[in-house]
Amino acid sequence: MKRRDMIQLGLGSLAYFTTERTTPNWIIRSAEAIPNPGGENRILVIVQQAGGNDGLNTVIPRTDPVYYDPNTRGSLIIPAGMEINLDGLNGFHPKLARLANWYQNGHLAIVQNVGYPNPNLSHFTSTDYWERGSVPGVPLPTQGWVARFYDNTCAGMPDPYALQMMASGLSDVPDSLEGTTGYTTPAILQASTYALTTDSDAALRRDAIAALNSIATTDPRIDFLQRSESTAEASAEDIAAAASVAVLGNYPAGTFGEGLKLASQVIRAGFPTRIFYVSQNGYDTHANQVGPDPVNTGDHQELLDAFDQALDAFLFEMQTSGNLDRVLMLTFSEFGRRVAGNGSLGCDHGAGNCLMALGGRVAGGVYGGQPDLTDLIKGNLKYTVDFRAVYSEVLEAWFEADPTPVFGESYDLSGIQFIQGVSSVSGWRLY
Amino acid sequence: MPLLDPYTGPWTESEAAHLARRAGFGASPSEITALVGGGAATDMEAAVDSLIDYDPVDAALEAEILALPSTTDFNNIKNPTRISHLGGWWLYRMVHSTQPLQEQFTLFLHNMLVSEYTKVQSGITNNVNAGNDGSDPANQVCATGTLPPDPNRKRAILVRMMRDQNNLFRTGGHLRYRDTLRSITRDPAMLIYLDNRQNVKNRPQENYAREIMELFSMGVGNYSEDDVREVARAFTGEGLDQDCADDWPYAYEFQGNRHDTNAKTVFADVFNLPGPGQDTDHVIDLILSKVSVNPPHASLPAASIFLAWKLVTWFVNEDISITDPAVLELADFLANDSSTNGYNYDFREAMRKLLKSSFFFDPAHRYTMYKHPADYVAMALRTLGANDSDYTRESSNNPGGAQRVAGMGMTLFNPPNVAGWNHGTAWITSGNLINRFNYADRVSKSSILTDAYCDGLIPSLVADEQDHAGMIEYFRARLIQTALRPEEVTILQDFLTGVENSAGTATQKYRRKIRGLAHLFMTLPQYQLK
Repeated sequence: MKRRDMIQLGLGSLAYFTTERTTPNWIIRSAEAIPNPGGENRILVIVQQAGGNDGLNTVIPRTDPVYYDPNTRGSLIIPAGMEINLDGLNGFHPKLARLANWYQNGHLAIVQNVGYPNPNLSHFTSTDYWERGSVPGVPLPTQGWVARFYDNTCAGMPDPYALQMMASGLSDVPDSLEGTTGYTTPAILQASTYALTTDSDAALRRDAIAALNSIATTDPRIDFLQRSESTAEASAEDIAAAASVAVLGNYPAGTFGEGLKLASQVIRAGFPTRIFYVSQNGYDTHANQVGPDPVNTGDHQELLDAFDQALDAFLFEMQTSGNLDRVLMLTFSEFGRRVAGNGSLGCDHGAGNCLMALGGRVAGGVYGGQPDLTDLIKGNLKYTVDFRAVYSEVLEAWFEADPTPVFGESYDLSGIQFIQGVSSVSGWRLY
Repeated sequence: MPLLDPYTGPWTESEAAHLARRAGFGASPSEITALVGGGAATDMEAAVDSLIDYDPVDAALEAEILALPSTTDFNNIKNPTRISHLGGWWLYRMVHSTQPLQEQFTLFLHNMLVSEYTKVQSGITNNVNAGNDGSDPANQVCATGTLPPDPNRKRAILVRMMRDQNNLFRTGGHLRYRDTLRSITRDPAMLIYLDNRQNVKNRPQENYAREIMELFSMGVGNYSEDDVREVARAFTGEGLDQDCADDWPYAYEFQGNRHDTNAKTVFADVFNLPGPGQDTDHVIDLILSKVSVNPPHASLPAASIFLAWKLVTWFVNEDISITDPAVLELADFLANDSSTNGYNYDFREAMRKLLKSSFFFDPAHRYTMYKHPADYVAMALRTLGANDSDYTRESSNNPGGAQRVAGMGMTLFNPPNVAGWNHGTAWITSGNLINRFNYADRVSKSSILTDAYCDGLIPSLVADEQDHAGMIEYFRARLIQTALRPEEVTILQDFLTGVENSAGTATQKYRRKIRGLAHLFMTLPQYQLK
């Protein structure tokens, strides 16, 4: 059988990788080899807000006088009454009106005071900690936290699915998903260019390219390259099929919106992808975080507006397609920002921060207490919730997996159980 | 210091090709023959020197560009008027430079001293297009002078800023890094990108202060958060003027009234220097002198180690750790170049040492690096002696060369963040590979591998239309330069046989063989490596 024929065998029941280096290392996609997955096949969508989101202007502590102290926040203050009241103590930035509806409907949880001990204020070092699920003082794991979970949970599984994880709207694979044994995660910047072209002698060339990339090898670089080619070729057809699914939501322009749009299409096309990673860049608001009108001008309100629009469009599509209960979105940013503003209408790198979880099985509300704007370390918020505890809640309650081997320790989840109503019968099943 | 001792092994085509792939964008067989010369150690030294001792301006290249015909694409390269032209402006230089290390080194610096054009663009006020007479304080374009309306001024300013920064790297970036650091600190695009133009006394902001230490010199961990705050204070007032008299409202200016004149303490050194920018220069010297906190290297400045590591991981092997003995040796060499003013960090001499070393030519380092997207394109065109017909086209269905490179994950002038591109395996994602292979397909079209190109290979390089072994060897010697795997030879021969057995005249089939082979060779795993 020609590889081309095998690839045509059936969408949605695909394997892109083998668990050991064998020939052929591109994948024979056999519909019969993969049992139909049972249960809900729960999905996690990780939403990165890259650059360090200002949590205090995202979830505004609307009863805290320090927030409104002009000598501290200065021009950054969202004027009292402009915020969208959530629970009396906290209000969303005015540009998060759509997400405020999801909060009111009980599908959005906020976790406050998230961070880690001895915070590092480098974007890249702190992002490393969040993506690898590690903290300062211990050797940085080579695998991402999702990859470690995946390898633990999937050990011994016979035939994992294709597109098991994907980076959507990105041209590189984030470290969270990096390092899974034998699996190269697809990274898809845009669906429209995710297709191989061939000028003349198309069949001859395609067959040759496939054959050239499936030669047995002991060279790890050649092996990696050949695997990546296999992933590219096999996933391209799936992405083309997914991209034909109708778009119902109103996504913002740009790679972040495109990434969530494509994730929704892949889910609604029925592919068994379980982990999606999308990223919105630009939160490093040292300057021009706000403009003359702190609500409607400046970079941060523009970012939050796109964030609000994109997440709302995605959740709307999940709801109308009956997928909302299968989906959990988890946001993160490498750090919060300095409580006090600087002299250029922005604020510098900080520490403790808030994040959000969204989905049909999220128990809405505010978790983790209120931020304390008076008890700071070098001007930065302290943390009370270890971010690995938040990850553990996801692994334990959502994926029904033991988080301890992923992080090497376990956490008290009693105050942050934002996932509820999950049936243990119909939960995560990889095969 | 054994690792960086001069290389004394054989000097043959294999070593010369390795040098050309790393210290440039590859070389054709005839260029490699010239680099080998008589095969003596002095020939190796001359080859390295010829790459390193480049002129600030590649006069031959600039003359060639000026002589290009007046197509839309070439006009964009001669005189870029939009930021989207600038990637093609640079890519053309990578493909055609007579001093290829100059362009590879410029890219190295562009990836370390990052300025993303998207942020620079958003930092240029839209008001510059409307212009003004300097009298309206609400319109802050001009503090002095006047500016007539010009609907294209904003984009012209962006192109000029990004091109000027690139030329800063191109003309002197390989000389003393201390000077480069002083220049980039005052570079308009950088002053906008890392916000220092808005860094003012009383409430300073830390963006540039942090990144110059973390990413441009020392590496994370060698400074405290207090140092970040103090360096930010020292950099206050390094800004841009709003003098429109010269039609350029974004010139560097030290603004004394915004500069913090109280004492600063950086690495326990207390200072407050009187002259414009003196605090800044002093901080740069302090940064370049600060001894590493890392035990294996505790006697050397942190910057010497970090910068040596940056050089080694760009030019030798991206897997090498910052604690590798070769990094330490190169750091020691960099740190030897000091004067009473502090450390100069002469990159040219460090590169000369590195590229002539046994470490660099160690066979264990060959084909260990993943080509970056510009390598992928430029090495193919250079070694094949082919030319892309369009470098700057913005069309979404048939984009030009620079947009193709962007599709592979490298938007020139717009790295993904202040740390630059992740290189190494990060280049090899499914989406990036698809874009690589589609560029290989583009190379295989008659617009690049023209009929004349294909036909011209016969009889000197390929015996005749049926010389399949000769055709494979033609591409192997240029694109791969090492042995093919036996299975690869079989698959390529099968492809050629398949074309031979299809319909068409002998000439048609011959051209399809050549073009198909170009496509296939560029999808080989080995072609992704350098």
